[in-house]
Amino acid sequence: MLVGLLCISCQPDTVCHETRKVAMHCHFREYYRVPSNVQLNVRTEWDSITVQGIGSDSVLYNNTKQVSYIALPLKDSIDTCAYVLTYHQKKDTLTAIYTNQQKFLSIECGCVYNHKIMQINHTRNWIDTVLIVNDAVMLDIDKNIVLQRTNPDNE
Amino acid sequence: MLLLLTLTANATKHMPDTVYHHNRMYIDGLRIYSDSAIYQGLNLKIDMFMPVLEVARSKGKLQAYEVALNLRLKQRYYPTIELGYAFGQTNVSDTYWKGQGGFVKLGLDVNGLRKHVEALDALLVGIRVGGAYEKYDLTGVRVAGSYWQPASSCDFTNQYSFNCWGEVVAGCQVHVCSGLMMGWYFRLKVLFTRNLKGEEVAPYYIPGFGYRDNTNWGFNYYIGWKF
Repeated sequence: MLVGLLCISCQPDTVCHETRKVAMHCHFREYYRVPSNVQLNVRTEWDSITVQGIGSDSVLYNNTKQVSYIALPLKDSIDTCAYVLTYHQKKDTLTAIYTNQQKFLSIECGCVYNHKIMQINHTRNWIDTVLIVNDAVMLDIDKNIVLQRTNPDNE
Repeated sequence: MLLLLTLTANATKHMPDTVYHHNRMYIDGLRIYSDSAIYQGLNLKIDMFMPVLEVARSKGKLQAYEVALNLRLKQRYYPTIELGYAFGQTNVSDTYWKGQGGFVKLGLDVNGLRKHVEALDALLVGIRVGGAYEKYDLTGVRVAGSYWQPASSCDFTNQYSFNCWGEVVAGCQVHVCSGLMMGWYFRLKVLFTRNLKGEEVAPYYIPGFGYRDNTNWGFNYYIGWKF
């Protein structure tokens, strides 16, 4: 009877309680001018954004409104990944070059791939500059890069 | 049940034979030390319950064995060393774990019963510090699918881990006859090495501690011999 009770009470928890999605978190900063103010204001939300990975048929963000950041998953098997970002009908390509490293979480949650950003390349149709704020792409890191745009005419 | 077994063993003691040889007193062939002696004998104990417990807990996938050695000092204190070995293999959440390792625990028990040179029974309360070193493989560890690729798996082989923990123990030991001892321990365990170093892969099972968690418990039922 004692052994039976032990069998019931001592099995370890096999449910994963952690989030397991690792993605490059990309924030937005747009400098714009309003007529009544000489100084530039800062906008940190996209009013709409569309994101699709190059080589993928599915759209990651489809004309998504009022987002303060986008999470871009990186490929685990290779060290380069590119996305097309469409903002106000202008398209830019963002290419990340990075390294991959396996990270074990637990038996229940499995493992994830962490990345270290080496370089970000981009076209300049609407993105002016890309700042790498934190090159470590892993769980619990919520800001990796910032896309900056100067829009004095507030188009 | 084990408590009853221990008490029954105690109750069925026969009348001892007392012999004096070279000014030393022996009862049932066991040397009885003088009241003032610091060293009062040695106990070797083999755990009969832990193998059953681990097989039951793991549904036959794990085996663990343990022996203990303690000294009797001044009829009150029992410095103790416990040695053991565990091994096993099992599937958990589609991951295959296979590992083996040894452990050692050092500690001290204090006898709560009245001191008497001929009284070998003891009601024990004590502490332990344990350490385990193990080697293990984890294969088929899940990697969640993402925007770019479907779910897959990865392997972590030839992993080594050292873990340390503390225990509070309570139990008893009873002299049955001719140096044969029986006893049990209940243990509460607290893992000290909770934080993983760098890219360390956490073991699923820690020999001597149990399934890796912040706290754990254990029970031992010993059969031993007094020397």
